[in-house]
Amino acid sequence: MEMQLGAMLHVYKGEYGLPSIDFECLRALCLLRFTRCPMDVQTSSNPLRSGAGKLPYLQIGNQKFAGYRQIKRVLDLEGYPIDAHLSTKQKHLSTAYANWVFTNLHAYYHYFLYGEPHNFDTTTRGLYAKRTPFPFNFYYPSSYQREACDVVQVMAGFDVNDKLDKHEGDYLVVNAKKVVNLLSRKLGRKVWFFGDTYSEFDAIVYSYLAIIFKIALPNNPLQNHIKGCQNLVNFINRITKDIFRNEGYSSIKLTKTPSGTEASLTASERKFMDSDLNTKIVAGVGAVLAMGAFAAWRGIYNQLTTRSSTDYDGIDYEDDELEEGLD
Amino acid sequence: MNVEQSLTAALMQTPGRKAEEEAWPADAHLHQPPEMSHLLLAERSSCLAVKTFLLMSGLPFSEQISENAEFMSPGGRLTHLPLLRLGPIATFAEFEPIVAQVEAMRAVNDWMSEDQREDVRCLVTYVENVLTLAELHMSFVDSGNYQLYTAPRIEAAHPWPLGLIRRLAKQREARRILKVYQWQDMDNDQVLHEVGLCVDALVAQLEEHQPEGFLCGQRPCQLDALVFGHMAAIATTQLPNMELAEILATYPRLMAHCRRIDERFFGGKLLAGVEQLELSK
Repeated sequence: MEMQLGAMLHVYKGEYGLPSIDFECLRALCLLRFTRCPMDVQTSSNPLRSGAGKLPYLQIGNQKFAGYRQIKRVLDLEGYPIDAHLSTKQKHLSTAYANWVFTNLHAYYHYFLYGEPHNFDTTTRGLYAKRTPFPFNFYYPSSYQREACDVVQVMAGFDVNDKLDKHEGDYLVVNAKKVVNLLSRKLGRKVWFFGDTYSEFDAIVYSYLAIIFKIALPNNPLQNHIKGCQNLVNFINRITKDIFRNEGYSSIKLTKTPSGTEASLTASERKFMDSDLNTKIVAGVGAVLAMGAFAAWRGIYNQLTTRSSTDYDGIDYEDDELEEGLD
Repeated sequence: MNVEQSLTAALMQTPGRKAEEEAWPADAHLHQPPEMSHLLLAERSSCLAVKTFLLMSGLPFSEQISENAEFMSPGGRLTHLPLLRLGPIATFAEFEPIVAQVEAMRAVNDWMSEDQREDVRCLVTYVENVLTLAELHMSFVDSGNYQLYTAPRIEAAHPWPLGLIRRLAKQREARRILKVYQWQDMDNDQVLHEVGLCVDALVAQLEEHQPEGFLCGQRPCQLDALVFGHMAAIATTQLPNMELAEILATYPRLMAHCRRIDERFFGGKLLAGVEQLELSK
């Protein structure tokens, strides 16, 4: 318990009313909040600091535990195991089902959030870039894309970098729909999947489905399917509202109230406003590069280096030439 | 010898199933690389599990040794082996797709309730993931095993420059699989801990169905085949570092169960050497 005092969990900030936009972060948050572990959550942090290049990570003093698995191990040791209230059989089933959901939904999640080029460029990249501090926001969102490439290659057997019509997304969608149907049947009218107590299985189902259900992607075939399973929708909404009452975040609500003028802007104008900062940065970097290149071309660097040495030949020669030109 | 067994299994089938049998093509071939010289631990488990499952379901098939089975495979999540070819076109690779296909063609598990079938399906995924990843971890990440067992074995299967390329490619592939399943940072102890959790679940499942004799009831199902395949492969493959086999040997009840399956479907030949191994310790 004493160790918990300085402990801090670093996650990505949420969106669409969710506590976090990232599956791993949401899963770690579930561990924390389901078990009522008294720990602070930091939502504006730098993936660079985690040591693994990704959030979530848990910081206790100078020690860092990056990734869900390590965080879970720490919480188990600290006396907040998530499966504590289950019977032995339920514990086994919880682990097995959690693994099964992971196997069947992980590829769908990675393909439609990061692998599908249109989805990634219009939505996901922006979500991650806005939550990462400045120079790193050009790098870290793409690292998720690279990871998705591996996940899809291993679990679905096609290459994300191929042409779009070679993507075998249908198989993923069919598989994911089957999983959702089974989950809906398993949940029935219960509060949690194992009746009255939460489990790791609930955490993983919530983390996948909440993000897939709430995120606004141009192409997300599972979203409508989840909408059809009312008990799963209730499950998601109940956990979001009851357990993550304080963490849930949505940028739309906050920006709508103060600015009435922004609503009158057209979509393209708003896009221009959003891209303003990026344009300035690109223009600035471009200008500096252009000036540097011009200077190099005019031989300024040569002058600087030769002036410090004893050899004045280059400068004299140039001066002579200049005088000749004036004559 | 296995062809004979499969033939006898086919002959022993009840005539009531004749109507369904037409769906199963006469030329069903199971392709795998030569077991003794080429197959790695994880691939061997998968091949053994599929073979056991087909024998359990009493479906006739012929085994074919093809060194290039890995490259014939249509894909898969973990090992890409073995390959089941039904008729001229249809091919399936790995345990779960093959089981799904057999289930679609034959009512092999109709004695279970729908809930039970779902539990079994999810346990199969779980057991296959954990044991296969542990085997991959043991054969590619554990440096002793990799240098003394895995690397020479892959290189021996191909002539020189190709062997080196294949070794590096397979190692990269294995590491990528471990990374995707988030096992890349685990050390041996953590791997053994995961295996322990998985086997605990199996033992609990076995105890629940103790009077009936199999993992899911009175008849063998795909879970039995899968567990047997992995346990037998792990126990009979001689690695420099036998930690995985040692931890499985600490579950005598599950080993006894595997031995029973061995008696019934393989005439007790597969696990015959294991007893001596245990006794010598």
